[in-house]
Amino acid sequence: MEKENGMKIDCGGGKTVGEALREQKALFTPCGGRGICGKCRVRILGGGWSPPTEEEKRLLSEEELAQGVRLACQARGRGICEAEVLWIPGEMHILGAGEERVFDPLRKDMRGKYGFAADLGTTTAVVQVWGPEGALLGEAAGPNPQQRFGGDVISRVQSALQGHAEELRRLAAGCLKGLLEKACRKAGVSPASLAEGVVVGNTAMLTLLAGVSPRGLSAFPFEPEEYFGRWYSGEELGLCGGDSRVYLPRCAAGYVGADAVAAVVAAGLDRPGPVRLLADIGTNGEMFLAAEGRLLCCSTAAGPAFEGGGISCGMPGTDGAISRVFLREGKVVWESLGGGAPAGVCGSGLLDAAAAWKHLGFLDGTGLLLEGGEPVSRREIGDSGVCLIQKDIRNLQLAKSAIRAGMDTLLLRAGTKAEQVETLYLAGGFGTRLDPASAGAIGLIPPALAERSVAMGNGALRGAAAILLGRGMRERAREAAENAVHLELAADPDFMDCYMENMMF
Amino acid sequence: MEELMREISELLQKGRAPLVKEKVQLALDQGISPKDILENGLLAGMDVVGEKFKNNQAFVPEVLIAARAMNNGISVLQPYLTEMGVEPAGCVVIGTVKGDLHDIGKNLVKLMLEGKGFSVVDLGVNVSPDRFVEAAKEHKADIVCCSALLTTTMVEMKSVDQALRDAGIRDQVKFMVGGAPVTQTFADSVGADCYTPDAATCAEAALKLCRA
Repeated sequence: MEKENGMKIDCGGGKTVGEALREQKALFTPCGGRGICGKCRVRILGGGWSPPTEEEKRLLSEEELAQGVRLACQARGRGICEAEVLWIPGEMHILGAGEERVFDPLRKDMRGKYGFAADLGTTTAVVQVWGPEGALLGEAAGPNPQQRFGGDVISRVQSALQGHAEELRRLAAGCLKGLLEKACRKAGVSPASLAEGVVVGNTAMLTLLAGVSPRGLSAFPFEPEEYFGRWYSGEELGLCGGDSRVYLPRCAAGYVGADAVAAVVAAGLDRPGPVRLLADIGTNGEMFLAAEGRLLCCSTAAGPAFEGGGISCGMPGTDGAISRVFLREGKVVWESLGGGAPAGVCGSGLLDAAAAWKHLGFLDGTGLLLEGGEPVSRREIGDSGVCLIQKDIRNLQLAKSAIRAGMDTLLLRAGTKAEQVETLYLAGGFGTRLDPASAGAIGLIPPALAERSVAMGNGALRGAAAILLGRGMRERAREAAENAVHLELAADPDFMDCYMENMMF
Repeated sequence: MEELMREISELLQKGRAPLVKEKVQLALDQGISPKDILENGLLAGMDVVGEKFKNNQAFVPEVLIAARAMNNGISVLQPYLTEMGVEPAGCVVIGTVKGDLHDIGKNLVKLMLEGKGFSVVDLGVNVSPDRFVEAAKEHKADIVCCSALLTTTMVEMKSVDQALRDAGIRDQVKFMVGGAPVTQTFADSVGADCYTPDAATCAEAALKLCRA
């Protein structure tokens, strides 16, 4: 057996591999180590190990178990053991704001000063340093280290309530501080010279960063303790010292955060205009609809499918992920990030594959994988060696339907139709990478809007920069958050109808 | 008779509610016993759908329309079944725990249980432990089923177990739990008698629990 990637792990006291490696960034644990996602695979090479748990028997094949493949969150070792981590997440392809824009008119009180804008995402964080004349000087991005407590917001809230709140706060602050220093170095300015900053994030991220109790976010009615829309001292948040101050913009609801609100002002949805829709599609999809002077918003839980979770060969948008699939002369062709050998498929590749197969009749309207009219359990994406199984398609159906049903319910409540929407703004990493034509073909977005969609990159970060630098933008963000009518979808019968209807392809 | 039963089963699988109703009536008119129509026609059809669902070959919307067709057929049979004293397989009280509003998974379980001949009392979502207890007492339930979709709310299952104990009826009911974040290990930690990873398996397990 190949041992070159093996490492010694101190499992003293019956620790799981995951617990033993917690301080290292070597593991991919989207479910937070609860034995659900099956992504933290390791191969045991030496030492004494606990027998496989029920969760492992469910997630690993007999063949894998026979080869010594285990889940890091389940396998407990005795003392010093040896194992190989089978999949180490590569460098994330993180999205910056993608625009070096001078904000006009600039806020008077920012003239001659340095400032920063940050987006504290559940998965990744991005920081920008802006100069006196409203010019972008430096940018830095990195993974959110809170991920060791789970990939989704609820796992973090849960961990915070179980006594890890201070650790989560420290991780978030440390991450932003590190990125600030990095961005400052690139900009050639000292962190001490930063006068002001704006940090956006979803409600839970800001709650954890500010050290506020996240209890309200843990269960219905999901009322946050604090909506923000207030200043903190940089020192208080542990981001920067001196007399710097940091603004956390107002959130619209427990699961419609300041990041989505920032994207709204960046896209100008809060200004009068035609009917417009904005969607930030992630584990939690946040959506805004501007219609007839009103702003409606909602959030819908899509689950981790678009980030690779719950998909057998799913992975985030890192090197080796199949990110594009299309038809060339009737044949399925694929491209991977970084151009290397394919290791799995990320969200955009998943959408493309489904759309291509639907077109070729390999996927029927109910979501059944077919070959010559007969159901098959799996299909390879072109000649990539990466396969999708029937269950992956089911998870995609649930995820895309949740997002689409959110959009449809907003349209229904506003008394308008998809055809009336002038522009659909797609924010966030996945929203920007996805091919709108594929998204329309499988019904993730209304097909009528495929050609009217605009990828806005990291809309949240653009909004944060606008709030930092643009005159009146802070007030606009506050008003947008306060005036937006939030629809609670979980108990909404219309949403349920839309959800069922959109599950088909 | 076999031909007609197969026809009812197949129409049910396709979710053709009005036709299922029509054929069930036809079967009654031909003098076939309501119990046979239920078991060999309706429940047999729902079994096929449940099995396909378990294997990912049928999906949520297909289960829902098949179940609607089944309920249409049962509505025709019900007066006869009651008159003849045909007993349900058991009584299940089901709900999504307090603080959680997710009901799709719970609804699927309910439909699958009905497909196995159970009578199901659906308490809806955001159900407090006390309401589970009250309903279990009122309906003399054989099984209490709890669903949760959030890691933060699934801990409520422990409170339901405790409430059943406090009411002194824990040994009279079987306690089943399920939902996306629930695992066997977690189910054991809240004292559940049974956990299944999907709705179709849940209905099978429930049948076993009631026959044990």
